[in-house]
Amino acid sequence: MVTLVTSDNEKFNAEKEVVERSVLIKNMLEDVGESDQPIPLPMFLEYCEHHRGEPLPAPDADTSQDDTRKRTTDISEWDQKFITVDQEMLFEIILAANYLDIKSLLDVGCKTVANMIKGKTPEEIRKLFNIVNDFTPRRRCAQIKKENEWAEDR
Amino acid sequence: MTATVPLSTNTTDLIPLEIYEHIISFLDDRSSLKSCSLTCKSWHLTSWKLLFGECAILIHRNNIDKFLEIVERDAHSVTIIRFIRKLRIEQGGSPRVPLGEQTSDSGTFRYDEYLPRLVGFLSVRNLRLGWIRGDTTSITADSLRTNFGAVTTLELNSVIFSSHVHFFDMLHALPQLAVLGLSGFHFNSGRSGDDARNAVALDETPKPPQLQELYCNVSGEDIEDFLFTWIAYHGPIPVRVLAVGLLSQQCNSSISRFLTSSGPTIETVKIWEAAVSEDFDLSPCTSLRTLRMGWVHFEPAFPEGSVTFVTDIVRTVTSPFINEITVILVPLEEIHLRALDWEALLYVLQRPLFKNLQRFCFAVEHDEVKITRELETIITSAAASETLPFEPKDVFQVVGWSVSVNRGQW
Repeated sequence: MVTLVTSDNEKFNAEKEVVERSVLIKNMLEDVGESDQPIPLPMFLEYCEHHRGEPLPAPDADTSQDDTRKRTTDISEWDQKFITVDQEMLFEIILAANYLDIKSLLDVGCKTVANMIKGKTPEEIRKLFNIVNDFTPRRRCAQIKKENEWAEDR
Repeated sequence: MTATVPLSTNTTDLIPLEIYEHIISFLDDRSSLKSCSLTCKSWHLTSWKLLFGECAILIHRNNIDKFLEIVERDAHSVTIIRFIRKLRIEQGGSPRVPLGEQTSDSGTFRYDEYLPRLVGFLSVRNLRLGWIRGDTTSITADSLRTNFGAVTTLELNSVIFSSHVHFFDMLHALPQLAVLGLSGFHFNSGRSGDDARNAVALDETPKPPQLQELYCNVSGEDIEDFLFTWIAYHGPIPVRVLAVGLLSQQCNSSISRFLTSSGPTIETVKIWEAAVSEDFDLSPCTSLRTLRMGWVHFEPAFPEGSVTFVTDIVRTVTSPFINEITVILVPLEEIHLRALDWEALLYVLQRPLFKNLQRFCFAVEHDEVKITRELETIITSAAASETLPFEPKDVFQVVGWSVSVNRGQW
């Protein structure tokens, strides 16, 4: 068993096999060995518990830049339910998954946000993420739009 | 969850760019990627990398000038040019110039003239050159070498070379070439009566590229015969996927000689033209997993058991790894499945090497349900099916296939 401690000092006990879905924790456990030293971590046990036993991605598996990876925003029913949270929480989960290096959870969170982007205009996307339009000069946008037209079936 | 409420800046300030890039990487539609490319500078390049990494850009005589404007601009600012991964170039454009006619059309461009100007394509890996009419010189090959040296997949579509030399030069201009597709292909300016086999001595030919996939969809028997004789002459290549037409006994002999040396690495064989089965031998393909053979006729007028092509081919299989055999049927109003020589086929399939067979499919364009029933009846009544090393009801199946959706490929 491993003891997890949240930032507000709450303690959870979890099986090593479950928490090792996080590459960060796995590495930390390897570093500290079999000691009883607690590891401070945010909440992620429910997700890892549900996905217990599923194969972990290979250590050298590429993340976003794999050209052969089929892009998809499909999410399993359980993950869909798990990730149905308010937007702020969704991004907290994404940030935590990124920090803890839990690729499958990171993917679920990012796919959910990708679904939020679908069908939105650039202005709507900027508004959603508080992004400033930093294209200068403004005609650069027109140029990008024109070049985008080449991405059609011709 | 609503998607319209802006996130708090407390949250968005914490999101690093790599998270946004990961989010964008899941977008699977062009419209969303286009929107992302227009959102801000940091999203722009990631979006273009994905957008132009997926879709093929087609250049022809009606848009080449506009495209060249972007190519020229790319020297000074970031354009789509450096992100394009799949490029299709049609020399003649459309409507096409008839074979043998002079290309006097003012709108037609020549590769010799335009390929040297197509610079800056840092990402192109998949290149299709179409409608060459015997008018390329070494300039075209030199331009390929200089501007498209990272290409791994080359498709030559409806291409006539004035000589073998230009074909060899073109292949050797692309040192990373691993996949070659030939469709509608001639040497010697396409003059009828010129036999590709007589034009060059094999000992004067260069070695073929180390291809992993070879798709040879040529209609000329002399061309196919020459290509496989040429490759076999220079020894094995590490090919994993092979697509060929079985056009004649002589072609089949050449392909089989090629298979003798290069067969052991082949995992997939696709027969695009099921004309003649004689002298075709898959026995050297000891790693074969998938065998697909297309355009097999099962016409109502054919007597029962008269179609032997499939059995003739399957009989030569020796690979114990074979797990899929698919027969693509010529779309007919009525399919006569009993035209296949079932008795001989089921006898061949009794060999233990077929124990790993997962699917023996008949791909049909319509009447899927009716043909499935007929197949079940045949399998149930065939005595030989009881001694197969697999469960016939699980393995034999009818699948839908469409010429238009599959674009004639399998």
